[in-house]
Amino acid sequence: MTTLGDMGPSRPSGVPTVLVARWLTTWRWAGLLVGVSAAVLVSAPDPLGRGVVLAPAVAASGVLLGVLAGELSAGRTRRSRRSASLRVRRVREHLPVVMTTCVAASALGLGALLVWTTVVGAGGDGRSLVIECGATALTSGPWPGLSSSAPLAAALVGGLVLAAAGARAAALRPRAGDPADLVSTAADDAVRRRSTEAVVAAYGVLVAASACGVVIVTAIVMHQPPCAPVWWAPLRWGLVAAAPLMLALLVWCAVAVLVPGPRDVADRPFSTLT
Amino acid sequence: MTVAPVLTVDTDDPTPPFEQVRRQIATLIEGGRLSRGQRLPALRQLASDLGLAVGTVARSYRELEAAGLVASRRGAGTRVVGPSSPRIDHDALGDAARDYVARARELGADDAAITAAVQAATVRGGAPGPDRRTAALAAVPAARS
Repeated sequence: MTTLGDMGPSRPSGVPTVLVARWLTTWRWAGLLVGVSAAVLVSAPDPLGRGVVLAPAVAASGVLLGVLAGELSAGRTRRSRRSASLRVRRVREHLPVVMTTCVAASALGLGALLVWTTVVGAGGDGRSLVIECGATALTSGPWPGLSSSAPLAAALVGGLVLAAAGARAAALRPRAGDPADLVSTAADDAVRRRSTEAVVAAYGVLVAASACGVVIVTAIVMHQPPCAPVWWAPLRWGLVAAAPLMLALLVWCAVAVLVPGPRDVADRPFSTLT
Repeated sequence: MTVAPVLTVDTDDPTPPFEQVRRQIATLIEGGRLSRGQRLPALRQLASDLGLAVGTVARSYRELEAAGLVASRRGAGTRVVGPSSPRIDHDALGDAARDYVARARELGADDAAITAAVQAATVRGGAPGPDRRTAALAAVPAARS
């Protein structure tokens, strides 16, 4: 017979929160190791240099896949009596607001820069910049033209799809612990926030590392041609200024992926949360 | 932060899971614990939490919608739309009133004091507080005199 509003100790609860948190942490680290290993292999010398360009995306994808696999396989109860709260869970509740904003803005900026470098470098072979000043053609490289912007753009889109899937999986994972207990619910929400932060941070590594490379290379190659338009120099200096910002974002996101915050339940050695 | 209502499903129960879910949500709506406009969890969330197939929860939602208790819209989720007011268990309400009157009589309150205390509690939403107790105690000497 089903009961409604049963608040007694016999309430059916899910898998203990600490176990779910440790499961997810294990999968996150496994994804990181696999991703980094794959990135090292991908970085092998390549005539077109695309391996190095895609290495950050490969490493980040490992983390994203690890989070996704962990969330999809965690917390499935096999008991006959199951409970569920009617509180609506949304992805945006678990997103780290500041980091998400910074990563999103950087991704949009990188996308716009890749479009520009592709258009500007369209007259060449996709790997060098050709500027025609009257009868003279000035060639310089390496330029992030179509040969590298296309795979990078694909990596940005693919990484975004994986990140969205990981964040959604974290929000929809079955509730760990007792859904009627406030402490248990708060602990479970903290685990979800940690997973979502790892997802955003991993995508942030993908974006920031790629952006660092593109911004630095573009700024270096954009030497002042004799017939440069008025906006050429300010754009170049803007890219120079953006480089340390992207580096700071890269460090911040890498730390967020690697170092557990105070909300990471699994890393408290004497946690008694259930 | 308050605890949201919780559903419980027993897969060993002969009642089909979709009916267990439908019945509990309907009871929550009719008892006023789920208010009009309140959003219900997405199908995937509730199905995942209960370890049921999405189609099972979808059937529960469809039957609730057919009964006019919820409404589903693409992009807006499923929300409670009825009933307009909670159905009152008049038998239980009568029992509660008789218990209250019996206790008030033991304190020596007359009909006027009993009615005044109920009205004061209604205004404050039934929340405990010094005012209610003070008002109740003040009414007793007046009833005894």
